[in-house]
Amino acid sequence: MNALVKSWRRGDPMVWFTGSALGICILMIVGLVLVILTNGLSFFWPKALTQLTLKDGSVLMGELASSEPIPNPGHPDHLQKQRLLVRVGNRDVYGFDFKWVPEGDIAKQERPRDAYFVERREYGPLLGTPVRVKQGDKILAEGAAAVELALPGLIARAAEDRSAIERIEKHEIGDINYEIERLRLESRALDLAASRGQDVAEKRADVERATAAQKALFQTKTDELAQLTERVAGTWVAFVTADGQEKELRSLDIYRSYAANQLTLLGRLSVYGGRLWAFFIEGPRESNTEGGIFPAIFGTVMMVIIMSIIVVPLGVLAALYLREYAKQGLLVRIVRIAVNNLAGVPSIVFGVFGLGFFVYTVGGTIDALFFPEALPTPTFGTGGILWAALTLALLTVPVVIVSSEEALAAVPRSMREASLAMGATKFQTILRVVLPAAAPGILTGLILAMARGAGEVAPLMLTGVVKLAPELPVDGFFPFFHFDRKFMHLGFHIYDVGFQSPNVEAAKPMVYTTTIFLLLIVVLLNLTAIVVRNRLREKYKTGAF
Amino acid sequence: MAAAAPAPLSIRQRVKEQAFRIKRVKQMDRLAVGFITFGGLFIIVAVLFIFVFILSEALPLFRPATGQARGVVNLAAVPPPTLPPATVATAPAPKAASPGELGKPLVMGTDEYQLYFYELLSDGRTAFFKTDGTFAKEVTSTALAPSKVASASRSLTDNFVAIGTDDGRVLLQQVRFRPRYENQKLVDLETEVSERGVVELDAAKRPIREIAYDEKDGRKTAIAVAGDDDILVYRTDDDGTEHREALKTRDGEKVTRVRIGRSDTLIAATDRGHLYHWELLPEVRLTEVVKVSNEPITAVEYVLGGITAIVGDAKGNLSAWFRVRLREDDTDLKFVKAHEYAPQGVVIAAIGPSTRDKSFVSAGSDGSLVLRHMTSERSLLEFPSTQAPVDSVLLTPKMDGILAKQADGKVARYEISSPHPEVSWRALFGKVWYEGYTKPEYVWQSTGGTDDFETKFSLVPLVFGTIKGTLYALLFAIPLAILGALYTSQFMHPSIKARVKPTVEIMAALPSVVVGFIAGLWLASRVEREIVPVLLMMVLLPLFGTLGILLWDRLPRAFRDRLRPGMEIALIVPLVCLGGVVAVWIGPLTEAALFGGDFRLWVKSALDVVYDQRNCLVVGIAMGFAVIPIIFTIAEDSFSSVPQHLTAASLALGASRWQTAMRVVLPTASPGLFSAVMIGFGRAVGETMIVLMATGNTPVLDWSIFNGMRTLSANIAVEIPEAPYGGTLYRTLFLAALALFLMTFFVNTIAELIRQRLRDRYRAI
Repeated sequence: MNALVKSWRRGDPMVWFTGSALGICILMIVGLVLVILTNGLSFFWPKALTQLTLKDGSVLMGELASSEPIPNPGHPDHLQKQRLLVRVGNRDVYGFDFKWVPEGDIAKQERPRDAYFVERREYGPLLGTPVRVKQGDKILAEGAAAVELALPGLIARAAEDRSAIERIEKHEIGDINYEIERLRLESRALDLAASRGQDVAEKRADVERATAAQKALFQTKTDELAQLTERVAGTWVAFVTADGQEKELRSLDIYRSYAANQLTLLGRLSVYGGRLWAFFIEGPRESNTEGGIFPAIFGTVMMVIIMSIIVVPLGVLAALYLREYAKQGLLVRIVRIAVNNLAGVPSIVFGVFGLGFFVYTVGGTIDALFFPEALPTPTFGTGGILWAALTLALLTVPVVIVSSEEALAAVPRSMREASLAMGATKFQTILRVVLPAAAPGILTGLILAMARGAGEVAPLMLTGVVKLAPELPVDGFFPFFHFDRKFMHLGFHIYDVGFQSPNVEAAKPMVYTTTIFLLLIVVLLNLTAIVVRNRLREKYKTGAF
Repeated sequence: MAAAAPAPLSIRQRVKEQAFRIKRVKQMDRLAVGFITFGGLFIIVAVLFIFVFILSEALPLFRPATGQARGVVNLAAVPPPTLPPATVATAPAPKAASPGELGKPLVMGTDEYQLYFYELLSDGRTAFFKTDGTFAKEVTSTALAPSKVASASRSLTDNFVAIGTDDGRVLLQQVRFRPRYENQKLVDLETEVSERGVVELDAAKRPIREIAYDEKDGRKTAIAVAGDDDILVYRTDDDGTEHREALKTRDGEKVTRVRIGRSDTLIAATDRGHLYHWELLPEVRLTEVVKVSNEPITAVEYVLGGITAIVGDAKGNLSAWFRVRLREDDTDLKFVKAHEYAPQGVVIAAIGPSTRDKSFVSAGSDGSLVLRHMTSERSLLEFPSTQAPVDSVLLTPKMDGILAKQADGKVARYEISSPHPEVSWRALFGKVWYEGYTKPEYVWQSTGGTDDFETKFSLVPLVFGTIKGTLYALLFAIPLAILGALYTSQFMHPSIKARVKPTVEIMAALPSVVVGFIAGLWLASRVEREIVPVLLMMVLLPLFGTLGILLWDRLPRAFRDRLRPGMEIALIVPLVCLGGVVAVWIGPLTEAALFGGDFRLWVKSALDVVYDQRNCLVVGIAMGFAVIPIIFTIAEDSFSSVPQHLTAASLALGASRWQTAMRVVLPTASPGLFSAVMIGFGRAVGETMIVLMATGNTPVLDWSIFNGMRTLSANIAVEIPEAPYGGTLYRTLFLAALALFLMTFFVNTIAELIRQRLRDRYRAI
């Protein structure tokens, strides 16, 4: 007892109390990471398909997603019994993806061997047993076993056909459309020139000839596409759902299928890997609730790269001025505080500035001067990747200035003095001695800026991010980089799919996976920065100067 | 020659060459000085330009309206009537107009583009003029003869014109403009006067003294005053059935003006300062008589929407009246005087409402004009007296001009620009009595369903929401972050510290969209289901962690020796986990025992608080999560940089580590803590994505932790994509951004200054 009082007097419980605060913080971080990882990583794992026969005789089949106590105060089983959340799929048949089933209503639970999980182009997955394969009126395979044999070949061919169709649609017809649009703008520009009194008859004839040629080409390509589509669209696979409804699916629309209850561990792993890879390289489908996130990853990386190209020279120049050239006095101190504090100004404020200044003022001026033929459709006068990158560059330039300044200050005085004593000018010293020595520090600043830029969403929402960008900002058309285009972004993708999507429940797991990708990028960048910074400290601690 | 033969250069030449090279290097150096100075200054100025730009976008909100007189259009140019003189002469005229009065205009109007304006002349002709005053054409009403025009009116929208005759008839017309385009450019308007019917309204064939007429979806309503107090109502149904009513004021009060309001209501103003209000549907009913002035009412007009009536009297007083249900259990609406305006000093001769917003222009009988805004009560623009009496005034449809018709038939034109009439400091930050509200309130509502919707731009609910969210976040974050930092810096073993710090730093880099997503989609639903365990955790988690000390004393000595001081955290983390498990376990029991089994129902009945799923508790936790690492890092830095010799001295004198922490470290580092909290505050104030995703974004003024809010930043993110460039909403959102900028900049500057002083102090110790 005495010991306890003594320890109370010494304040030991308070030490434990403060420790608890830290413990809670640590648990929160761990908890957050665990929530994201468990939800995100399990998304692609092929779960078993369970068929439930209910007491009222109805049958349903699906993946068991989760369970919870029945939270219905009026229900007799309120909080006493569990209910199961079943992902039944077949949205086109049922109209919903998920269904709650009270445990008490279940009469029988089994795992049918032939149950298939089919990923297709629309309406989410199809869950059912394969029945037959049909081409036109001809039946190619009948019965589950026969279809199972035929399915892998069908799916492989469907993938080839799809890419063939996409090649024509996106690339060949896309090229033609792009050319026609360019010619249309050219003709508009000729109109404008004509209204200024220039003679444009000859050029106009050229443009019209080219347009006619492109339109003819467009026609042939469209015909070719129609033929191809007709040729490949004739194969149908019929499935029967758990409650006995038959559903025919064009084989062209099947992306992946597996017999969920027959898979070995290796099979599951390969499905998992395949899905993860597809998620990484594919574009989104069905208003972003299906398919992959490649355009979002691409947009994020591209935007961060453009931002880095802008922010490094700006930040280093400002830091050089502040540290090496400016007279150290009150003014520089004030400027330093101001720059420091700019890092704390809310990102949305930068977004507002980007919208008002870059998009409306600068972009509007560029449009009026250089793209009058496209007006009133804005070219640069609307959000785009360049404006977003510039806005983020402004947002992150304080980070680069501050860490570059620190890095410049950390370069030992003796190094500079040695250089100057050898007769080098100040600029030569900076260029050949100070900057190389400070490079790792500047790099740290850049990496931190990139990490911040990759994670910011609010300013992008105002300056050019969209939920679905039809084209990447880089493609094969001159000038290859299209800085005026809108782009997709991982962070905005999370917000959009998680909160604006029509089918949040179905899209949620996908958002967790997207979150993992975003976190991976941000955490890796930060870790690199920390490692570089520590190396740098070591280097100057043990430096021989 | 030197090039031809590779002979060694002469010393003179080498010196010369070197001198040239050195000169170039020096030039380069000077150039670099210029370039870097210019570049550095430019970037710093460019970054500070952000503030200037946002300010310059927000400032036009407060600029007063501008305008200038554009001269007087003389109607002498109206040609004499084309009717044969005989017809005029033989017409029976009880109140025969003198020839000089023949062309005197009664009502005027203009088109949307101000290409034309038209006037109804007292002989029944409608004359169209180009804006420069040249006569364009005229249309003669065929139905007027043989009577004379006694009064006329024009509806606020759609140019419905009514003529009251001297023999008790009413002629209904509509003036229409049809734009003609060539090459997508407006070239001209086609003008037309269509007849909408003739009604014999007064059986006694008295002259119609005052008239009002409007149509809505093809249903006509016309109201005429004959004699002193006879109000005659004519209206048609959807199927064209005609209804006629005769109404009277009390005690034979003389009616000065009648006007038609929204949803089949009418008001009549009298010379004793009363306002009568009738409902026409479902049956005719005198709903209210209210005294609005001690003077005769000389002008009354509904502003856009037909709900609020602006009343002007013979002394120049102006006030706005609309009807509301004052108490919830009232069955009837009552007139309230919501606004009063700066008096004009002379008889209010006419009021001209805007067709775009709630602005109106009031004309004094001496020709003075004041442009005002109904809700903000601002006098936007004043034109001094012209000494020419005005009897009718209108605001052009695009709000870019005023036309004032003088009694002598001339029209004075004014050009105005009033882009943001609804904004004033009071409208942004004060309580404003909006149309239909029972009392002045703070409201933010930027979009509405109808054309006559009034935008309400009170920043107060948004500032309130920002402060509320920030406060709850800090309430959660400050204790955790500062106590955690104290433990990390003072008590923790350095080997763990080296791991904990970077972890927390990475936590600071966690994108807020991720935190917001987890808060909105994962945490919110779990907190809703497990609200009692969550509340219990707030107590149980620290309690279990602290109680670890009891366990510590009972641990086998062998094990205790392995754990050096500063390793308590290894025991604390599992204990805190245990606390969480216990909270979940006893949660339902507590809920059943204390809150009748359902916390949300209990909160509703006992505290009258509605539980929203996305509420402030969730935001507090999520935003706290985002703020903790910032406060933690700065606090830990300031704890750690307390000079070692101070703590060493304290410990050497026999103080325990807790006593040292409380009496030596904490006071020395307290300015650093303050600055940590300030910077955390700055971050929470501007946080956008978390609030956007984890609250319902409803702008309410309510401190309850169980409902949501809307913050300045989330409001900007939600609304600016839809705000038209340069509009009032756009500029108001820039003002909100400016407020955020200033708030965070101010707070951060203070924090930074404190940190610098602290650094200097440590150097001195």
